[in-house]
Amino acid sequence: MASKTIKKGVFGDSKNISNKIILEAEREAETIIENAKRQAEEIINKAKKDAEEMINKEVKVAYETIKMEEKRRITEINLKIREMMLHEMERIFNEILNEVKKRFHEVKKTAAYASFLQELILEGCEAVGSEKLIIKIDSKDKDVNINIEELKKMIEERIRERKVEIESIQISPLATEDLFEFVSSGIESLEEGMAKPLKIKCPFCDSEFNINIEELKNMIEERIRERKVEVSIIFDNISEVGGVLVSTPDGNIVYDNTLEAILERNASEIKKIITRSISEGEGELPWALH
Amino acid sequence: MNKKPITGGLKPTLLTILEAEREAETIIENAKRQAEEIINKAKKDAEEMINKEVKVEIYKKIDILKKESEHRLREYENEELERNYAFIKKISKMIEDNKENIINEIIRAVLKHGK
Repeated sequence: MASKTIKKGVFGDSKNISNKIILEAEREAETIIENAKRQAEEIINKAKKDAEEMINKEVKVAYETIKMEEKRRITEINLKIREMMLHEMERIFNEILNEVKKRFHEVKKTAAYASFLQELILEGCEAVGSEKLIIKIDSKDKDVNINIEELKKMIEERIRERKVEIESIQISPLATEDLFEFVSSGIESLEEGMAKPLKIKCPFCDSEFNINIEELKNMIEERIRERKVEVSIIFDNISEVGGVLVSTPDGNIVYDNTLEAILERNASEIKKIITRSISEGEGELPWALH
Repeated sequence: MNKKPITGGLKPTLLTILEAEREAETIIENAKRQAEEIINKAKKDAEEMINKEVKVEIYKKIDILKKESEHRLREYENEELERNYAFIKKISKMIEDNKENIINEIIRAVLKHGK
C-alpha cells in the first residue's frame, strides 16, 4: 500500500516536472520569437529610416540638378524670345525703310533732290580725295537736273579747300623722348606746340634737326591746292532707289553714297527717330541684344 | 536487508523527465530556427526595400520634380511669349499710327545728310 503511494507520488511529480520543463521551454521559445520579432522590427525600421535618408539625399541632388537645368533653359528661352523680338523689330524697321525707299521716288521729283544728289557726289569725292575720280550715278537719276561742268568745278574746289588735320604722328625709333611726350600728350598740346619748332636728335648719328608742325601742315595744304582733279561721270544701275558711288580708277577706294548705303549708315539714327516718335514715356525699344 | 532497487518505478519517471527535456530542447530549437527565419526575412525585406523600393521611390520623386520643372518652364515660356507678342503688337500699332511722321522725319534726316 505504501509502495503504491510512493510510486504514485513519484509518477505524479515526474509529470509535473515534465510539464514544468515543457512550459518553461515554451516560455523561452516565446521569448526567443518575441526577441526575434522585435529585432526584425528594428531591422525594418532602420531600413525604412535609411531608405528615407537615401531618398532624400538622392532627391536633393536631383532637385539641384533640375533647378540648374531649369535656369539654363530659362536663359535659353529668354535668348530665344529676345531673338524673336529682334527679328520682329528688324522686320518692322525694314518695312519702314522699304516705305522710305518707295517715298523717295516721290522726293526725286522735287527740286530738293538735285541739290541732295549733288551734295552726295561732293561728299563722296571729298571722302575719296584722289586726283582721279570715277563717279557712278544711278541710271534712275539721269534726268535729275545737275550741271556736270559746274559740278566738276565744285569738286575741284572742294578738294582744294580741304584743310589738313594732323591727327597723329607715327614715331619712329629715332624719335626723342621729348617728341614722344609731346605727341602722346594729345591734340591739345599738339596745337599749343605747333608754332614751336621741335628739336630732334638722331640717336644714331647725333645730328640735330628742327621740325615745325605748322610749317609741315602748310606745306601739305599747298601741295593739295596744286593738284588737278580728273573726274569721269558714268551712269549705271547701282541702286534700287538712287545715289552715287565715288571711287578711284583702280577701285581701291570706294565711297558708297547710294540711298541704301546712306540708310544703312544711318540705321542707328533712324532707329532713334522711330523710338522717339513712338516711345514717349515708353523707354527704350529692343533694337539690339544688350 | 537487501535494498530492492526501485528501478521498476524510477526509471520511467526519469525517462519521462528526459523526454520532457528533449521535447523542451526541440521546442527551443524550433523557436531559435523560427527566430532566425524571422530575422533573415526582415533582413531580406530590408535589403529589398533598399535595392528596389528606394530606387523606384527615387525615380518616382525625380520624375515628379522633372514634370513640375517642365510645367514651370512651359508656363514661363508661354507667359514671356505672350508678354512679348503684346509688346510687339503695341509697338506695331504705334508705328502704324505714326507711320507718316516717322517716314517724313527719316526722309528729312536723309536729305539733311546731303546738306
